[in-house]
Order: sequence, then C-alpha cells, then structure tokens
Amino acid sequence: MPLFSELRYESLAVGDRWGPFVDSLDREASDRLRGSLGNAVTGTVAPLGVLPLLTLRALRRALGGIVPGGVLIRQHFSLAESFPADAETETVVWVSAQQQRPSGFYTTFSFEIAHANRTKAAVEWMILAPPSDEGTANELA
Amino acid sequence: MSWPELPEVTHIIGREEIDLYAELSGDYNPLHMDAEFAAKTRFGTVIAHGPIGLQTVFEAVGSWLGDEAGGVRIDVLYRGPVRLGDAVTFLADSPQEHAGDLVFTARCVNQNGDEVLQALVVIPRHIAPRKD
Repeated sequence: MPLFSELRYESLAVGDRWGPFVDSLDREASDRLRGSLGNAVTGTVAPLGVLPLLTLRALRRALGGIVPGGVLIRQHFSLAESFPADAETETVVWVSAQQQRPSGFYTTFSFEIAHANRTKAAVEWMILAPPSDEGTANELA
Repeated sequence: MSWPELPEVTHIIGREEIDLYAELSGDYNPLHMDAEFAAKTRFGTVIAHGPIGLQTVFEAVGSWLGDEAGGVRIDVLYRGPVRLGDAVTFLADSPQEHAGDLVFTARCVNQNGDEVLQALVVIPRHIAPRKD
C-alpha cells in the first residue's frame, strides 16, 4: 500500500463506506499496547490501546494510504464489550460528516469494530481538520 | 460512596516508541520518521503519532479498571503535538458522578507543562473499583 492516498478529503461524500476489514490481533501486539508503548504487559483481554490502532489500519486500507493534509483534532472511543487480546476483528469505516468552514474542510470518519460472530465491540469517530498555523494538533500527513 | 483517583502516568516518547507505532500501524509518515523532512515542516521536529500520547490515558484507565472495560467512553481533544523526547503525563481530576457513570476530566501535559490533549473519561459506575 502506498504511504499517501491519491484521494482528497473534498472528494469524499457523507455515507461513503468501506469494509469490513478483517484484522488479526496477536497477543504480542496487545501486550505492547497495555502500558507504555513497547513495554510488554501480559494479559488476555485486548487493551484500550488497540482501538486507535485498528481504526488507523482500517482507514489506511479504506483510503489507499494516508490522505495528505489532515490534522487529527478530536477522537472518541466507546467500548461496548471487551474482546480477547488475540481476537480477529472486523472494522467498518464511513464518512459520517463533512463541513466547509472558513478555516477549511473538516471530515469526520466513524468506525465500528466487531469481533467474534460480528459482536459489536467498539465505536469510534475522529475529526480531521486542515492544518493550522498554530501547529497545535497531530498532523496525519 | 468514594472512588479512587485515576493514577498519574508518564511516558517518555523516544525514537523506539515512534518506530514501534509505525510498525504496528503501518503509518510511516515522514513527519514521524524523518528528522530532515520534519525540520522543514511547521513543527520543526519529528512528532509522534497521535495515539502515542493517548497511550498514557489508556494505561491509566486500564490499570485502574482491570480487564473489564465494557461501557467505557473516552473523548479526546488534541491540543498540541507530542515531540520526540517529550515526557507526556496524564493527570485526572476527581471523578464526578453522573447518570450511573463516573466522569473524569483529564489532560496530558508535556515536560514544560504544555497541554497536548484533553480527555473526558466516562466509566460505568458498576465496573469501577471502590475506595472503601
């Protein structure tokens, strides 16, 4: 997969939907996201740290890479049900909102993560904004 | 009913942490990986992937709750970049009870006291550990 997508946020539309993307967590990755990054803490349940990882992976697959010019300004996680540290997951992503503001174009992506038998495990959304001069957010590209 | 505080958690964000997150996520954006490239951006230096700073929040909540985290909601406002070498500290206020939940207002600051993110952590009261 290329690093950057050829898409632009403005070319997307509310309701555009991708997935489900199947992802296989492994114990080692889950353990490395349980405490400080890389310091493995063992456990059988997937830690909260896997949520943004699964959705970042799904978003890259959905868009064919990272769309340049997006700044992550806000993110929401809602865990419905814990799932195993080595679960197979399915993630669906869609464009849930867009807004043209004086400061630029804002896009909201929503995600649903399911695990075994398509049991809903988590819902997440993130808002990407145009870069600002202040440089106060986390630029995706 | 009284509830324990969420623990203060500090992570030092080094090259190793950023490389690991790139490996796990597949996100090798040069802003995170290439010092020469990053020096030419408005940040002036390599910055970490957004979720790396957030990991302090997840560790605090996870260690406080244990494995049962169903029903937890976390709302995050990213306020500033986390730079290579930063020490990110998660700090939470005492919980407020609201409609069957415990609500923690929290933030993460770097070693200079600059806020890098704000978080609202909502935990169902029935899964929260009790102080007494």
